[in-house]
Amino acid sequence: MGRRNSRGHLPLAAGLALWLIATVIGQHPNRRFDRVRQVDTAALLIPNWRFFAPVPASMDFELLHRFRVDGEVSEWGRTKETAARRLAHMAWFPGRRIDKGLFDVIGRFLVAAEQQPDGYEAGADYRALLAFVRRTVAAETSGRADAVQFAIVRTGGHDDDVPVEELFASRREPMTDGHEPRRAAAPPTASARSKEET
Amino acid sequence: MRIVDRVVRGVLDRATDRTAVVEATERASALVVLLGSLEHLANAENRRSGGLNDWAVLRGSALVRNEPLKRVLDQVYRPRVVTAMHVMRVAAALVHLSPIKDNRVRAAASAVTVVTGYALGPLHHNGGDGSDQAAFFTQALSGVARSSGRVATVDTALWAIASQATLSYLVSGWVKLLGAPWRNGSALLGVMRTRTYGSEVMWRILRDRPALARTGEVATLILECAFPVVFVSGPRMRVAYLAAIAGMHVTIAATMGLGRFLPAFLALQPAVLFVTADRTSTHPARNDGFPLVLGTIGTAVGVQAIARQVIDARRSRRPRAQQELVETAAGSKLAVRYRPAAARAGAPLVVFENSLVAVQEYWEPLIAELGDDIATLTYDRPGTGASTSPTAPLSSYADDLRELVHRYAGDGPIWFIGHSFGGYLLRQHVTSLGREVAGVVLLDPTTGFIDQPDHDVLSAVRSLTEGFPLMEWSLRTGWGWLLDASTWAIPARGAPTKDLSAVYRNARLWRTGRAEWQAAEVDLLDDRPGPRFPKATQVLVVTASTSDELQPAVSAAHQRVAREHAGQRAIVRSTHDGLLIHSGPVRRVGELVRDMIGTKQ
Repeated sequence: MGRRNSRGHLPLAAGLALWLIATVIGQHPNRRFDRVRQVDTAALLIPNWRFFAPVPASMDFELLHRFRVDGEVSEWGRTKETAARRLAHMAWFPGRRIDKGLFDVIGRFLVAAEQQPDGYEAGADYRALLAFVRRTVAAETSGRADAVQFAIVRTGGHDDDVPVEELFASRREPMTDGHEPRRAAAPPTASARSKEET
Repeated sequence: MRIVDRVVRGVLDRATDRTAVVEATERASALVVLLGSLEHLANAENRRSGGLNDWAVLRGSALVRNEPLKRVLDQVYRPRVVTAMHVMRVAAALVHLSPIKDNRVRAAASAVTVVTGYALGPLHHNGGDGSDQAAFFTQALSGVARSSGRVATVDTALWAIASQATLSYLVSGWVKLLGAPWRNGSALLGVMRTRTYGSEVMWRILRDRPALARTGEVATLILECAFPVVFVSGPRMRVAYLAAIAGMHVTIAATMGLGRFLPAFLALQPAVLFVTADRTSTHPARNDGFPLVLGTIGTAVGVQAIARQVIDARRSRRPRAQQELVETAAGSKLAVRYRPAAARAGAPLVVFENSLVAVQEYWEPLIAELGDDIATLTYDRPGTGASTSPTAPLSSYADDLRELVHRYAGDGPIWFIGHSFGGYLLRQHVTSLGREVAGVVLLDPTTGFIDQPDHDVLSAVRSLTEGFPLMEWSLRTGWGWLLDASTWAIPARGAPTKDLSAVYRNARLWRTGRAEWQAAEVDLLDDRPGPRFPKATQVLVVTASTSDELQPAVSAAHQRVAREHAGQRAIVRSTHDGLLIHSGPVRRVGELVRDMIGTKQ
């Protein structure tokens, strides 16, 4: 491969050097210095090499939900079970993208919930979680549920000795958008203390 | 041993053959592309309504802000188009894995992978990972190498891949060392116990064998942090090191279900072996111009970073728009902005107290809301912006505030408004001003706690300034230009954004914030709120709705402060900072304050 040597590669070298430098300055442990990443819409150009660093995940977020059918409120249940690890996952594990995606969305929601100017219910992450729960509940109840509520808890994963921490509970939400009357009876805001309310 | 020798020699020989190196890179990363696209095809449900990557929801996120681009993506992300793109990616990967030798065909396959990969990036945002990123650039660079006939271009592309490989391990290792769990030996066990990343079997093994867990951690840190030794070690050592790295990836793949990471990172190794081989062992001799270009541009970027830091430091110490420097008897110089009331004699004066690491411009929207029949006084505490003091943070605070009040207060009533930490400071010092205070408004104030604070509250209190030392170090070593004041959403109405950014890029601000918080921490944890306001002082405590909802202990403490002073308590639908910067909450706070003061706009 290749026969000639010349200086024609210099623009390429300069471009790749800039890309490497952008990668370097995009790795600051404090995400407030991630300004360079703003140019990377697809989150592919500037790799993030801060794997499990500086503080690795040592707890799981779990999404729980309950629903109302014919006026009866269900018990809380897990919205998505994480698949137990198997050796076959080395070769084929499409479900991991969904597990990781859920972890990403929940983590982002918890960090940014306090920064949404119009309230966290307007944010894309809240809406994604709500939609995810609604779909699960619709399948679980064959479409008979008329309201859902979801909660986020932090657990010690496989370590059952770690107490479960309640992080967030949504307000009662209708099963589809645009059915406000059902919300009228709900408290005005979501609250970590309002789990009994659905 | 002979077998090992033969394998090592075989690896090293192939690593000097450009074509073989590019092909190995392509093949390994093609495997990542193939698996990735098959996963996305299998997960089509995740892109429909109710899925985590439903474009109808994602398009409302901060991921893509450009409206025309969103409209283009609306078309691109139709299910059939997405499926077609993944089918094309699978086909391109199969081309790379096949024996086809034609450079143009293989380069075209890379182009397909790169273009479709980038186009699909925002759609697969949730659940994407580092293996996708690694495969993206290895495909792009091997494509560049394929499409060019020039040795220098191929060598430059391989140098870039090898440099990214080095960077990936260096960053991963050294940033880990900043985290306490990696230093105190709890990291690996912690990760393994999670269902998202870990493995129950591995967790149980490591839990019962702490020495094994620590060995795994230390081995990971050494392998990652010391990766550059491959550039200075002999050929056998180099191959052994890369084999150990490969072993680490195999372990990760087997225990954490991160199978795609194995080929993604193995794809980087041929380039590392190529650029670390004896230069003359390649034919023609390898072009090593890239490190020189990288060093030159890197130096230039470093120099500009330092120059900008010097400029920013100077700018941050100048009084900003319409501020004057007031020198106090304690020797403090305070950057102050005083706005007299438009007409009324005896108009009220409102003095504003900033939060932690906050500047006085935060008050601009509320001041505008209050109207011009009220005199207002904002200032920065020493250590922020142009304000300085010869003494330690907070030690001259009460004297400074007393002097400011005496200097600017007329005959009218004096009011104080403090936000967050500023509320705590007002509770400590308002009674010692030697003047009657008509009222105090505490906006989502920092308070002590009624009961013993729970674990969450305690860690929140203690961790608030945990990140400040890193911030200070970064701002002293040239990272400041990557920090923007807009991160804090400060209203720039009162001063140019570059002036505000300069203040936040000065390590002094963060050092001061840390010192202020440490000085207050004992009071807060022991629930020593400071002297009660005099009975004649009206008190309003405003709680942001997010604090009320997400931090019940804080909300209860606010209620107590209001009750203790027979004052009012209001919950405003807002975030903590939103009380000062978002238009709806600011309007509501303005109404509450005007009602208290007794003025109408």
